[in-house]
Amino acid sequence: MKYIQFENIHKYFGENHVLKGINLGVEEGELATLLGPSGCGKSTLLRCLAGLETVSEGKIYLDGSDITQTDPRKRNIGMVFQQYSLFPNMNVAKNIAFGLHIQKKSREEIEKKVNDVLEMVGLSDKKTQFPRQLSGGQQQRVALARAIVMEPKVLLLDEPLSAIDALLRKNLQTEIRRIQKELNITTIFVTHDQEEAMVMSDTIHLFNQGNVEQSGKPDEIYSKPRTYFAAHFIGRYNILDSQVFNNISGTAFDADKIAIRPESLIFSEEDKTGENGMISMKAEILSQTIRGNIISYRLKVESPKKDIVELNADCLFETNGKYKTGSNIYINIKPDDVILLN
Amino acid sequence: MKKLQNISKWLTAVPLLLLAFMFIAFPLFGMIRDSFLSTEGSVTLANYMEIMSKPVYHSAIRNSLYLSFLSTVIGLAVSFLMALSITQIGERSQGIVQSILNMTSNFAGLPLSFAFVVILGNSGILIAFLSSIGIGILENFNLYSVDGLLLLFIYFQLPLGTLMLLPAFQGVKAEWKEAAELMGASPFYFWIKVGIPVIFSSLADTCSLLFANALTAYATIVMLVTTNVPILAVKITSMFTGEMAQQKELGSALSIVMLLIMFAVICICNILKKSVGKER
Amino acid sequence: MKKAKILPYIILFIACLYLVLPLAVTVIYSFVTGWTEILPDGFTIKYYLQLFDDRRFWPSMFRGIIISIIPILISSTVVILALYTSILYCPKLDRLIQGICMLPNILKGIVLAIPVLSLYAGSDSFLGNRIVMLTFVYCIVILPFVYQGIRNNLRAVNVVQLIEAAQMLGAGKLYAFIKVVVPNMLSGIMVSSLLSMSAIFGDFAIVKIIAGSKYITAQQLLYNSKNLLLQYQSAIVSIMFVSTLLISGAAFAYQNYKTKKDMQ
Repeated sequence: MKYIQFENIHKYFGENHVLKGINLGVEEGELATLLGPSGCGKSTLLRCLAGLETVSEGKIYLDGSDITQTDPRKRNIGMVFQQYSLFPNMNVAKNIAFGLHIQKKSREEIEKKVNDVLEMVGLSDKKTQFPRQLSGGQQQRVALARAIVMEPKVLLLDEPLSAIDALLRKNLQTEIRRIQKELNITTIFVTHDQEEAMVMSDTIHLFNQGNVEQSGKPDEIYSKPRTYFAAHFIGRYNILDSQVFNNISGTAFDADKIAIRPESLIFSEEDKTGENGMISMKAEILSQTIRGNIISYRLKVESPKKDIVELNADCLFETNGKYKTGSNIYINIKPDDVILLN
Repeated sequence: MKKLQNISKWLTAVPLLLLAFMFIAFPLFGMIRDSFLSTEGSVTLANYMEIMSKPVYHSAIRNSLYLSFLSTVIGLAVSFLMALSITQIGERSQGIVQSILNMTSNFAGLPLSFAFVVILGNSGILIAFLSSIGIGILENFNLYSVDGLLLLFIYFQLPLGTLMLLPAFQGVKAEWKEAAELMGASPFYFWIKVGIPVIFSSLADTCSLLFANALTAYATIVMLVTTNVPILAVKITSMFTGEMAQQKELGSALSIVMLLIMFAVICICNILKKSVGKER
Repeated sequence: MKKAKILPYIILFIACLYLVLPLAVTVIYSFVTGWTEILPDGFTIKYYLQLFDDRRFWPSMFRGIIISIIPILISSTVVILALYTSILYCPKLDRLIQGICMLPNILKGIVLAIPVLSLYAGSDSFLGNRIVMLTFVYCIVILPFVYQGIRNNLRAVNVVQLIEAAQMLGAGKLYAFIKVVVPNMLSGIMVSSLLSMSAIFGDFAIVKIIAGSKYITAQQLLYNSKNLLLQYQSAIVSIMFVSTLLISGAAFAYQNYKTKKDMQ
């Protein structure tokens, strides 16, 4: 059994079956991300662990003991919410000290802990300010400080960065990751942003409609999606019916659908079929868009049987910036880069 | 145990419910019951029969309806114009007008009727002033008549109506007007097609409130009402507090009549509000 | 681009003139010795001196204020308690609470007072006491102010999330409500208390119907002076109006101060 273990968790909201038998484990000290579109059940699972929702069926274990029915106050779990969860009537220091007061810690101890944690999140100078005087990013740092000052067994982050603008979000991502590693605190992070999940996580659990669709390390999830949903949600995969792909490429893959990453298409001016087992096809460039140092091409491939397929290809600007819209080229794919989906 | 906990959660809502029950619902039920009782305590329709048969109640109801309807319609129309005008003037003037509205909305009830006596009463200053400079339009004016009272009613409807409508008018975005203008709509067309539908629910609410306000107005008129001009609210009150023999049962019936009129108007306003709301 | 429009100014000027005229004339009239021609005959402050000499005047003014204190306490407490249930356990209840609290916008004055008087006047219990009756009817009268004051203050904060955050830090729901939610309600209660006070001070219908001669407020004093000199009455009206203005002015000033503080 892992440090945190969900066993066959079901949750109903009235008729609505939100969690459909979740089995999931999180190791001590790791940062696990629950990733998925809104309404997939990821936040609900987090709130079940926190004790803010009761599970309809199943068990939750933390550090070896069953906490399914434990009062949220006694679980020793810290949580950071989306935004605006700071108590508006208290200043930064009082917000952070809130839980310590409940634990009846001595004044000196509270003072010291508050100062230490403020230093950790880099807000020592904001100690006496009120939440409304802070930016969104600063407020979330305080919320983080307020959670970790309690030295919780688990830290839960429920889309803490979703309301913060892009540039600041990148900063906070690395900041949260740094603090998490420094304290070696077991953390569960909920987000709908796949890029954010890739940057931050040790492990990603991809959610879809109340089920865990796929679990794995970020690079695994990215490079080896197992299902149509995973491929669709994670990247800008080209997803084709394998029948159609077999027709245009003359191959015989046996799966429901196949996925090809846009950057695994290699361009050439001549047919390379057979070279190192490469799959080669003739294609026409329909359009191109420059995204920084990457060019995205839209390609059209026609099979002998007159199937028409459009594909996306991403190339580095330096190596493949020379192809013109409307020109005909060959695209080559390594068989390993064709991912079979169920 | 669990059940007990559930009940205790509701316990904190009880005081408010109790307060409302004891001092709104229960007394109103008592009033409905009383209206069907004779002075001896038997069940009867005699109170309502009397209201239907005696001219003094007819004229009280007629006067009250006349004042309430007219002051609501005029008050609503002028408030509409005022709120619309406020959104079109400079910011500093807006501040001044709003202060005047806030100030005069506090000027109601008894003090207001005294002020009207000072300017328009039997020895009113405005009347004396106008006749001394040779303008005689107010010479036949009588504050103690129905039309005299109407002027007073309109006075207290204006600040109230305008202050209630103003947020709705401020919610009609300048961008909408500009967009309509660019598509060739006249301001009038814009208000018919966009403006009024948007603020309609506010208009309906204000209408209900102004009507209820006028129908139940007491402090503002009690000093000015004579036996020649009976008004429902004053008539009812005298039946419960009068120095003469109290007529609790008849008064209750008359109150119910007043409440029915009020709720009928509120219902009509709400139906209008819903029907326009659906259209959108 | 912006066209200078003259019509709105004309409309508002006429309307404001109509609104200000009775008020201004009454205040001026309280200072005149007589006014039968175009201009007043002369000015005097003797009516004010006469009024201040009247031993009944100041107590009656204060009675209008004092009678509002207990209703403000009761109504605020009762609404906060009800919101405790609706916020923490049953959001649907909020519709009912709002409905009850907004009812006195329509049912006011005589419609509130007469049924209460009629039902409880003969009662032998404490409810038969006129002052008790008056206090409770005033509790109902001010519900809209109290409810709105509290709600406005809670609108800006996500109450449910704040309570969950407090729970995660080890607080019980009641503790969280008292420590986190109630402080946010209190500044709203400040404003609504002043508005409630001004409403009760301005009431004549209810106090006349329920208390009659048993509790003489300034409003009742004014009513009783109806056969005295007009200037004397004008002086009472002026002082009462200024008092009302001061109370509601304080409410506005406090609200402005608070929004400014929140903006910085």
